[in-house]
Amino acid sequence: MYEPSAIAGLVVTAVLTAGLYALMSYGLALVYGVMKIINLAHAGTMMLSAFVVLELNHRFHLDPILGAAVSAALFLGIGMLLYVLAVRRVIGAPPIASLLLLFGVWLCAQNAAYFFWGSEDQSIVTAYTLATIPLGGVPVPVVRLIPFLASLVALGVLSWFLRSTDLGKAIRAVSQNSTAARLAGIRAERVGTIAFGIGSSLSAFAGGLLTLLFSFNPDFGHTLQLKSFAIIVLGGLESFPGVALGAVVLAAIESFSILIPGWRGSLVNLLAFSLLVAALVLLPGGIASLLERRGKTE
Amino acid sequence: MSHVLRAARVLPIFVLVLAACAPATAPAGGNAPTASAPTATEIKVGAVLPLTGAFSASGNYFQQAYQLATDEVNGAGGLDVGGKKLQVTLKILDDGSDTTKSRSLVEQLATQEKVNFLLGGYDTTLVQAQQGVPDQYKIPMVEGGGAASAIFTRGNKYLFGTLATIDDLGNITMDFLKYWEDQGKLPKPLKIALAWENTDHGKDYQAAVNKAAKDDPGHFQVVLDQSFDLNGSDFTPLLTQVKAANADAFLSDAHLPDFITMHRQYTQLGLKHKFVSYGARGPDQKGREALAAAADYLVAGLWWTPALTDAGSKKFTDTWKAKFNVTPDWFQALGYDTARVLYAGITKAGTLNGDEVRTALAGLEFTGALVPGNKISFDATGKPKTSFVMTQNLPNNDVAIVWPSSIDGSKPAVVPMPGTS
Amino acid sequence: MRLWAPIALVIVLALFPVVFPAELNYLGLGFLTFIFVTLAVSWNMVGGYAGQVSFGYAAFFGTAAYVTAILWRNGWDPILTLPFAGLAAVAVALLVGLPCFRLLGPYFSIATIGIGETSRILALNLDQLTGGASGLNLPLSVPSKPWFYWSGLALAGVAVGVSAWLRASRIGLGLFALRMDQDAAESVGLNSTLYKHIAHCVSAFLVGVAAGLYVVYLSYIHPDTVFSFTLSISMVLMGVIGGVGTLWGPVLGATIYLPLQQLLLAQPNLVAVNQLIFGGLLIAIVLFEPGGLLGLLRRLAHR
Repeated sequence: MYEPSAIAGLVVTAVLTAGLYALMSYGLALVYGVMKIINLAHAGTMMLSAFVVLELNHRFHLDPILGAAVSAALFLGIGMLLYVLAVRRVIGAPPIASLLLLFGVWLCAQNAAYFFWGSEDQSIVTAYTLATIPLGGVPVPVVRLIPFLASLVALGVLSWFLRSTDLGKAIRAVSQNSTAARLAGIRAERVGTIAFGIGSSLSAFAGGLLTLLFSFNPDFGHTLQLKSFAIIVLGGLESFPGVALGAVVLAAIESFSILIPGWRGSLVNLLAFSLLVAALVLLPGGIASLLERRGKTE
Repeated sequence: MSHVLRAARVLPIFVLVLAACAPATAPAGGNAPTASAPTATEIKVGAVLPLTGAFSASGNYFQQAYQLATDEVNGAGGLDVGGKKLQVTLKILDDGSDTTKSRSLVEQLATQEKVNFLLGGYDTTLVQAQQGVPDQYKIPMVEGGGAASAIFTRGNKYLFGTLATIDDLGNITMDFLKYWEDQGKLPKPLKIALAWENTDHGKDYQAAVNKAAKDDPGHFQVVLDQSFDLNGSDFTPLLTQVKAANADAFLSDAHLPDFITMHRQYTQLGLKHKFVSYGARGPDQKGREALAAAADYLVAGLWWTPALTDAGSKKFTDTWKAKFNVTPDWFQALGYDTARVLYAGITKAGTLNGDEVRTALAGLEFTGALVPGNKISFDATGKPKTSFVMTQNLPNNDVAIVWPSSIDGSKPAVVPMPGTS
Repeated sequence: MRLWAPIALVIVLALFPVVFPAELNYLGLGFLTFIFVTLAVSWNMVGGYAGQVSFGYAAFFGTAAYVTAILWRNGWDPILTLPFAGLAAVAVALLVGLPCFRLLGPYFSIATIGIGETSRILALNLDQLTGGASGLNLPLSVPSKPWFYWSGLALAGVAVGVSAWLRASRIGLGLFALRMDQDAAESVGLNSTLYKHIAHCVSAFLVGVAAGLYVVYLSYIHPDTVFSFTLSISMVLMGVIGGVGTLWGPVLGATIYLPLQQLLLAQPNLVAVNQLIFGGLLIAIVLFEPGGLLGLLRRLAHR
């Protein structure tokens, strides 16, 4: 039924979407890794960042890619502030405290957005919104390629950062064992502040780039956030390559589901949510741990 | 511990006693507020709209429109009720786009504020949540914000709609296509790839298209029938299916965000069909901005458009622009018509009595409406006997009215789309 | 708390429709408040007593709501559908609890979000059963306002009673022990899974009955309403804002939640404030007063 070029098209779209999903999920993974907190304000950050990019685009004619970078810098500061003011107080508390706190932040962000911008759908259009690059017969939309490339760059930079810089090593130390890290002289609280800031910054960057693709309103980000959860759980919650892998798995499943005979397109989000539950219950270490185990027994 | 046990024993007895006291099922009628013409000094009209929350943009348009119609009536000295002119007091409450609150607040209007009449809310889900109230309290309600045909299948006697239902949007689109097939401009039978959002809106549209194909296979063949969830992030798989279906026409029923995402990807994938329509989407300014030239030649079915040139529509557009500094869309026009229909019904009845106004509305032929055809009347279920106007986007942000030909300024559409024959 | 106070409260509330039969608006508001009290108190049995914070109770509410809706449409007396609605919710609770209670803390919470949304999407797509995105047409004639008011009051009363009983019972003590330290509790022989399931099922049953009553009152059902994430969140909010883990905290939270919103909404200039209140309250409570409003009141009372 489907020509090879159609299948090739599905592969390409799965890869591009995987990049987008991965980019969305790095921030969550970082915050979780360092302080074992699930950042429910992630959706709010992406959404507010989208509005920031919108304002920059409308008032200063700033291209969304640059706007996303500016927003990322802005949210680095906001994230650190939020950590110092609120999040650090719930680090030792039962996990539910941080869940509820960040959820409260999301609620406030949503309602603030309604207040300032109303509920109308906003979208940004650029000169290259509809442009495509032909890749072996498959037209690759430029606006989908950009987040994909950004996620590759982010992966590379994050991996290098964690491996080679002092701060990155400190972050890894705190992630693995915060008590031991403290004993080794690492200022865990400062690490936490910066990590939360970087995590928020990554979320903001993703949210900003998403304006290239989608229209948005204050409700934006809810489903994408849940998909990010599924991805980081699939990926093993604490490793960035794992996140990338999780993103690939989800994107592939979503893209190829259309080939199932009798499949209802409106069921597509079911895949992510079921995957989330299944991964949590069946694969607590994520796919990365599965592969690790395999590697060890061979 | 024993305290708790004692409570546990007392409570069931309490429950039984209470249940015995409560009248079980009472016919809903006894709660209607008394409304009598001789002693009334004003007409109280209530509405519950989403002024905040997810539907607030449209909710506010409806509020402004209801208020405009009311101000006009009051400015003319009041509404004629049996020879006497009474001022209309409009009370609008905000349901925050929430179903429970919407229903609860309409009841508050009925029981606490004791309104004589109700104007409907916005969006089908909220209208459906509200629709139990008019019949319970025998208060007529006219709504212009819910377009699902299901609204009129529940047996309401006191609910009237001015918004043509979506199954009609499907019907008029198919009539349009049939005409052009018979003119030799589109292949016969027309192979249709259909994508619809999984909402009551989309389901109505899908049902209408499928019914037309079933009733007239010589003209229509549905080669793909696929649903999608709202706010999708990637329509490439769906569009891959569309491409593989090798259809002549692509029909999609979507709201603005999905319209933008889907048509962008449609264009990026290099898809082409002889006819493309996204239901009611197309001429919206936001859509055209977001899609640039890709939105050209799309055909849409609208409840009303500022491109209509009949005298009433022009006057409304000018009045609205002057007052609010923005070009009105169907929300404002339908809100305005909805309120005016209610007021016309009251005048026709000559009384504020709920039953009599209901009867008046049921048989009302409201002329001077903004909707295409300029006339609003209702069938036995309260469903409006109105229809849509179809437009086609033209280059340079222009739009033309292309169907039905009886509408002022209607021009033949460009069919098939350029570059596809 | 002395027993006469709650009983007196119930009596006063029960007499309201007798003394003010024409105050239909307050009867309706009262009914909805009782439903929300039931939801909050039931959620609290698992979220508060057992410490397993579920963000997915809408899955139970929605399933039960559809059971009532489908049976009612087929001619059943709405009252008779209620036990079945409750049982349907229990079935879902078992289905959810079996895999999910193995998860701890935030993982359980995230899994429940997934479950809530999964059930919503299923309901949106199983058109043959649920009517899908069209919802189901329900009969427009319903019992009288006082009937709803008293049923709601009875249900809320039962919920609070069950919550009080659970709290004081062995199961309740076991749940508290679990919440403090699951490993320690299990090491003294506590069957943590069984206790969680019991609390979960009892809680789900009450939520199910509440859902059935709600649907009959509204005579409207749609997946986006009865399976909504906002509904799940509202249960968490009511429990936490009122005072999670206490008996009367959720009651307080529910009493504030609905009527306050409706009364605030009536003031046009306060509308935007209304939206920010619950997010702000949540943050304030988490940071400063984990005992919720009840905790705050207690602290003030002890000064």
